[in-house]
Amino acid sequence: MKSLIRNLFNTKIGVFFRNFFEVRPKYFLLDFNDSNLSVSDAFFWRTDSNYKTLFKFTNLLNFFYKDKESQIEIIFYDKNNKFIKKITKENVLFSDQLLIDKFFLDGIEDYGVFYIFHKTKKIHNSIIRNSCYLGYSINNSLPSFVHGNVCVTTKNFLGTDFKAGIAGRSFFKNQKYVVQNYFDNYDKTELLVHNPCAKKISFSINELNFMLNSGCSVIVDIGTDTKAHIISNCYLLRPIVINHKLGFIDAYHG
Amino acid sequence: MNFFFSFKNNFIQSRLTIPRFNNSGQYQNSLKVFEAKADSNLWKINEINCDFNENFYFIDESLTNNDSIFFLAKEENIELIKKNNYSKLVCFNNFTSTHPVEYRSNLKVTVFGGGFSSYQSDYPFSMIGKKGSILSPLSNLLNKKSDKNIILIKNIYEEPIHEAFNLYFVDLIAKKVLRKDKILTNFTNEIIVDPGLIEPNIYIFTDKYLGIPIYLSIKSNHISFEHTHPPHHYILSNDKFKKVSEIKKEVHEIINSQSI
Repeated sequence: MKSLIRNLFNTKIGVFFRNFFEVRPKYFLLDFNDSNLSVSDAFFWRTDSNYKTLFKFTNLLNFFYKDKESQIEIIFYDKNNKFIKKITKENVLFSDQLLIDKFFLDGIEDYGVFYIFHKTKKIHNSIIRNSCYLGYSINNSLPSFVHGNVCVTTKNFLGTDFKAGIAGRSFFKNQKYVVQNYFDNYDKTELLVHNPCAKKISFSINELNFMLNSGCSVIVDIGTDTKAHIISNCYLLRPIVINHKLGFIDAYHG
Repeated sequence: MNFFFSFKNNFIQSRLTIPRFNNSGQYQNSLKVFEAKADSNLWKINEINCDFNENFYFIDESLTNNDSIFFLAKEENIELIKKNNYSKLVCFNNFTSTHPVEYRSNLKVTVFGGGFSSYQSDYPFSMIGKKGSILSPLSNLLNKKSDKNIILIKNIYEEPIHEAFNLYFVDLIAKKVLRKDKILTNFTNEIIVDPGLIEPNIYIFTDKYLGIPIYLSIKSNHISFEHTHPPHHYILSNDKFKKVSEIKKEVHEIINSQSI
């Protein structure tokens, strides 16, 4: 009986009701019994306002599974979730890096997200998640690094069956999240927000209201506010915070 | 429950900001900040008299040493550690036990007259009773061309001891140990890294205790400060501990094959 209830609990309809009624909600719509799956966080890139973004990543399939023939695919989207470009990296033994600037993005000076997937023809019966490191550099300064923090998309190891928006959503806009830091005496603070869910979300930051379609991104300038209160219908709407002062920046996950 | 920590050295200012609310915005204003320090095989516990406002406590470098840890508690919670004669850290209360997002402080470092960097920082109670090893890449968060590259390794262990353990810099391709340092339990250890060690195939590895590796890089007065995740964070399937233990075993074998 217990296992029947557990199975029902994990069906698509079961998860819908769990998230609707907020009873043991599922934060990620991911089947952990699946296999040969590459999961990516959403990595927020910026080339606007003299920003460059440096991505440092590890070839997880080679590091953990000694799969030297594995490839890495990185797919870029703009802030409106429109595909921009895709690159493939081969022969990455351990770690590599990619500079994302307006030249790399064919002149685009804006922002959006990218995803990283690991590909192989081999069977490893595993699920790996890439949540590596993004560095934000302004005016060619040393990048300020943050790690990825919310799973958003999946592909199988063959590089097919792309699924986006795997973060869980509640029915009501009642998920409160307060960034646990004091934005003390900064020139301004920006919050980089991405919708990790499969459907449109609604959220407010310090009582300013926003709607964001699936996969879309927005940068919210909260000026000199000292705190960030976020209310949304997404269980894990966690922004990247960038504090600015006297030409210096500090980027970190909220 | 989470502990918090800071860092002190000669050329960086630090500030630890501990929120008085959890990440859902709930307050427990009766909680105060306490400091714990390992001293003569006992935990010394003191209430800290630091700056605060209605939302946060602020601990600057004048109130910390690299062996201090901090936590939120009521005075009566301190009775819990009295019961074991101050011989072992305890879970003082559950206000900072939050899920799915952990309760975090902000640990900020500032270069004198220059830039600043921070990360949302905590040391979970679930880690303090465990022994194990850290395996973390050097090149992901350090920069060969920086003026200074530093790794901070924070360990908090439940017993009030400052025990030395080994930190190795291991080349996973050449299968060689390139450097060995002694670091301490219950301490924020500072390790200055030569640029020549910042390569994709070079990892740090500890042989006995867990900890949080935090990477600090400074160039032209700009600074970056971020931690790496433990390797099992990158595998979501059931083979995560098997795979991680296989890799750690390989690194152990490299270390054991060399007398350093």
